[in-house]
Amino acid sequence: MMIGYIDPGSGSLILQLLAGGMIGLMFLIKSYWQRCKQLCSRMWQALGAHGKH
Amino acid sequence: MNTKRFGEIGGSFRDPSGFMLRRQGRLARLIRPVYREHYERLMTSGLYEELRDAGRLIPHREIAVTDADRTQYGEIYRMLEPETIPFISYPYEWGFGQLQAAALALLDIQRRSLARGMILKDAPAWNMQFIGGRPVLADTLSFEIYRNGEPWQAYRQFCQHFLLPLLLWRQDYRLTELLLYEIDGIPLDTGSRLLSWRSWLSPGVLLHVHLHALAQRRYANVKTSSGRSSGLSRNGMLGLIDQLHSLIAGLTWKLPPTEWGDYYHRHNYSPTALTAKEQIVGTMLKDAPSGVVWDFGANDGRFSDLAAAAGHYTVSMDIDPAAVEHNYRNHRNADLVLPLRIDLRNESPGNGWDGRERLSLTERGPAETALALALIHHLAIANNVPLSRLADWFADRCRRLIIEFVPREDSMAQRLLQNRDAADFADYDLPHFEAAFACRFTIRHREFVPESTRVIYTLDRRNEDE
Repeated sequence: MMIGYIDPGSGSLILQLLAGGMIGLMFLIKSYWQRCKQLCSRMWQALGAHGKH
Repeated sequence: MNTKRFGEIGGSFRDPSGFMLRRQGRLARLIRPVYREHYERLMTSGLYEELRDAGRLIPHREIAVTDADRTQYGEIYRMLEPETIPFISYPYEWGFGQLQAAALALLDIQRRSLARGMILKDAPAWNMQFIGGRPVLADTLSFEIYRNGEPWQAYRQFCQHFLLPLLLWRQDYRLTELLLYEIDGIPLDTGSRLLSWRSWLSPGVLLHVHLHALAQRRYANVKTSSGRSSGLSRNGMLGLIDQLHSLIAGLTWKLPPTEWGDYYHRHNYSPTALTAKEQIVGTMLKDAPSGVVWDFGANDGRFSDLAAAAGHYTVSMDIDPAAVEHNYRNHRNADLVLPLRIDLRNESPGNGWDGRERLSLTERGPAETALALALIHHLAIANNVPLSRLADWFADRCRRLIIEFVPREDSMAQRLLQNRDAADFADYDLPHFEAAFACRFTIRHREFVPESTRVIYTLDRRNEDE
């Protein structure tokens, strides 16, 4: 582990390691969900534009 | 700005990567060889340009290192000249919106850094500074190379400097005054105890404050293993930043109905008098020499706007947190107005190591020009400061003073006198005011405000040998 010039606090580091897995998983799900929404929105717009012709 | 024997600036000694110094009358940042790898990554990864162009990081230019520098400071890798910040301010002087904007800007910097293989190694709130309404990271040496699996070393510091003060602010803004006394932010255990029981119901506050405080206590004497490389995944790190960002962005502060929040709807000026006052002050400000203006008792910044319109960078100070918040919301996109929460009866002191890490308000001056409009009766009557002491006080803080005298007969002064013995303020009148201020200032200009009992002066500070 890289040692910085500030004391990060052992509890602070351990909390990140303990909660990190769950937080990472939630972030992954959120990222995919947002990508999904973007894709759907683009498809919807494309369909709309196609419909106008 | 206060400097030590070798020109080092008081608040930048902790980081072994380098420090700030005053060199040939200008500010410079010295970088030690130990920081070389990280600085090169910052400059070659595109992160510096990205943050600079987004207005998130203070721009700098590299300057030549001389033999004299090496003789004085030892080994030097680089010397930088950062762009000047017109006025250094501290978190205990910011309003809620400013602290929130600074926190979100720092998290944005962290996110952009991670995308380019770097991470913030520290996150104290005073690394952020405001240029007008824009928060900017002032410490170029805050970045280091990110190694996958590493937890965020500055997580606790971020929570203590930003998250906890914001949460406590919503409960009672006076709790954030702890920032004045706690040099490394509000301790997690103190903050956890001060927050209401309802805060335990918020998953974000539960994790980042309460469980964080419990973990600190539980593992206080545990040495974290060195060489561990698979701790917090990259997604875990990004998730942590994303969670903190969402939590902080979602915080709102319901402005309390305070004495000053609605001042301009309750003043005693007629429309003609108010227009005339704006014209008088506007002309005086246009006549003022270029330089920083301190607007004392600025309320929502109405007259700070006139100073900014005359081209002056204006520090717009008020005691009232609601007024400061209004002021900041009005000037979020302004380049020349910096609202700050300053109690003139008890200004920010110098604090931290040797009393020099954070400078007192006076040490950050003197201002080229100060504005003191509709203020003096509050200091002289409500706060019992004799006129001669007021003259000294202003003379220590500015070279030119634009000041409005509010006589005893004025209805606003009368309000302050209603429960006081008027005999105690017998010498609070125009002749005594002029005599008291004549000891420290010369009168350059004097204007009576029409349809009003008030008088506005431009005063120039006398040289000390006069």
